[in-house]
Amino acid sequence: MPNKDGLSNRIRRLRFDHDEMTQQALAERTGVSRQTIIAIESGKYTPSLVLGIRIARVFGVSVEDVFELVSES
Amino acid sequence: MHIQEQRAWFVLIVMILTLVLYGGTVALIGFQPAALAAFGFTGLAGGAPLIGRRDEKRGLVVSDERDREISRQAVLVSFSIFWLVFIAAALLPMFILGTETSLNLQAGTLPAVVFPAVVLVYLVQSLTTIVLYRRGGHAE
Repeated sequence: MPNKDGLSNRIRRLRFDHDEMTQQALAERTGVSRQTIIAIESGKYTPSLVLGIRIARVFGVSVEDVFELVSES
Repeated sequence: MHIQEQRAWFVLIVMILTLVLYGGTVALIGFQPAALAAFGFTGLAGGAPLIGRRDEKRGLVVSDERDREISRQAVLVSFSIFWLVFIAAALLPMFILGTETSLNLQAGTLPAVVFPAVVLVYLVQSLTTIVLYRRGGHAE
């Protein structure tokens, strides 16, 4: 479900597909706190471009495979 | 609870206790300069960074881009409110008393204004931080 910025993400799905990677493991690999990963996953926080790229690299996919801009508004 | 939120709670509690202490002192001795000593209690807020030091030493991330964004917004809100109060405090006497009226202020009046202003800034800043963490820290 998209957040206020119209951005939706597939992080939970991607974590599951990567040996059920924990939020803590993803946080450590991207250099943020677990709470930030939780906030991004739940759509409460829109990450910076740099963090978006870092998350995509962890999963070995492109940024647009992780995030989707549903609304242009 | 996030470490930054814990730190904000700590600062908020210290500021509330400071105001309670100041109020209690004023109730006991009146608006004496000695009552301002209660604001020394705000110094305890300097202990806030000690919260989460263990996690920091363990190499865990205690502050990232979301925390910085929340911190930035909290500072912005607190100084906006401080500025409003400051402008109101500067202009209201002029509107009430007129521009030609001269005020005879005692030297002790200045710290009696500055200390509560500092408490106001930290109070609003910590409160905003807590609210933003509760709301998820969405950067808007």
